[in-house]
Amino acid sequence: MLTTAINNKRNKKRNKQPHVTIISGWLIACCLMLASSHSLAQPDKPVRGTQLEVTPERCIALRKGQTCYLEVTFKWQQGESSDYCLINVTRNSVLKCWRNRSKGQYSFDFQSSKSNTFVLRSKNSNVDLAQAHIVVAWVYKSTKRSKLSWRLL
Amino acid sequence: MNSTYKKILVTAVTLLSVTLSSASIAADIAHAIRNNTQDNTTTENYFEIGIGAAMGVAPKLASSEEQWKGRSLFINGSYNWNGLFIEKYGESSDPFVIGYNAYNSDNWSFDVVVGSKYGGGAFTNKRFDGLDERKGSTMFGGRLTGYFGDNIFQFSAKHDISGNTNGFAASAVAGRNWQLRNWNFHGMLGLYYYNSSMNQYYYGVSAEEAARTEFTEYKPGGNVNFTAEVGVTYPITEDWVFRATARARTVSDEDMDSPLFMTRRSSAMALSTSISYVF
Repeated sequence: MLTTAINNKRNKKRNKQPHVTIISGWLIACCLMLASSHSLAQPDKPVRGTQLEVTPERCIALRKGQTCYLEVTFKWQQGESSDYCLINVTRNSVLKCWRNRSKGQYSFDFQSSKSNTFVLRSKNSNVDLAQAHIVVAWVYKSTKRSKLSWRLL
Repeated sequence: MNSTYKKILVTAVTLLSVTLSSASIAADIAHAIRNNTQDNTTTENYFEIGIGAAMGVAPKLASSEEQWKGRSLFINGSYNWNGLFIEKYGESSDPFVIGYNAYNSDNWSFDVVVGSKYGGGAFTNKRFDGLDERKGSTMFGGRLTGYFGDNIFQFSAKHDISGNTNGFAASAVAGRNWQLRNWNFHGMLGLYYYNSSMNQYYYGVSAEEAARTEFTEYKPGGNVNFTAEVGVTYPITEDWVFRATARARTVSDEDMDSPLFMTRRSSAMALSTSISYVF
């Protein structure tokens, strides 16, 4: 299973407040633990690593250049509820968007002759939170002949 | 010789005898059509080993049973270097072929090819003691292949340059493939002609042979056989390929009137399946 999770560096930085005392740090940590059960995202809540998984991840065609077909399912999970979109970066198309959700699942019929890259993107910030790939592989590699040539005759 | 070896020999004899008038000349188009090749492509550089099982009915030289079945280990492969190519497609029963790609356009390709075919092994059965040896033919000629969308047409004309038969063979085969999800279906129709020299060498009985054996003298003319094939190819992984094929062909009277055949049929049919590991 290919799982590529991109941690949001901005959120990591948010966890390292230089002017917060140890006591207030503990208080914040306790508040964050309590707030973790809330459905609404809190401004100071640390965002866990976003996960975007696709299964299966390899599509096998008989020959290079042939369209490969594969029923795939995406599963994603995010630390906080918000508006997210699953986007096919290779084709620059939006597959599905969710509103105010922290996790989701989407199945579709993949059809392509080349590998595709997908990202989970925050709808408002246009930040890619996680990335996944569907790899198109093949058994036989056929090479197209040159356009017009005489070799012997 | 025990019964197992006898069965293997009978199967081999049957397959070799079928080869003479079967669709084996279409090996290259069969390979292209199986792989769903839609463009004018060069011979691939690849190598694979497979195991297969097959069964069918066919006229036989050395058995009274028209049904046959068997398993096989086969090798497929081809290599292309600057237009000079080698093809070995074991599943098609077509032996080693060496060729040179002489002309290319968007839709047409012409190759000069040479290859040994037919062989004399089919006549090693004791039943044929006293007959002259039937040696293999070295067929030299041209192969014209046209690519039009999902359709492939192939025409060939070859002459035996070994001096054994001095025979001539020609073929015209049309094939088409369809992709249904990752399943690759194909169909082929073919027409095969063999002149009297080839038929007389392999299926004829000379006056001298008739005088020293129980076979009656026989001098066949040229013949035409029709073939049809449907099949499916599925890539299991990047390395493993599954194939299943059904073939049928007519057997002309020129062949069946030969006294060399023990079992006579006007048609032959075969079902085969295989799995190959592609290197």
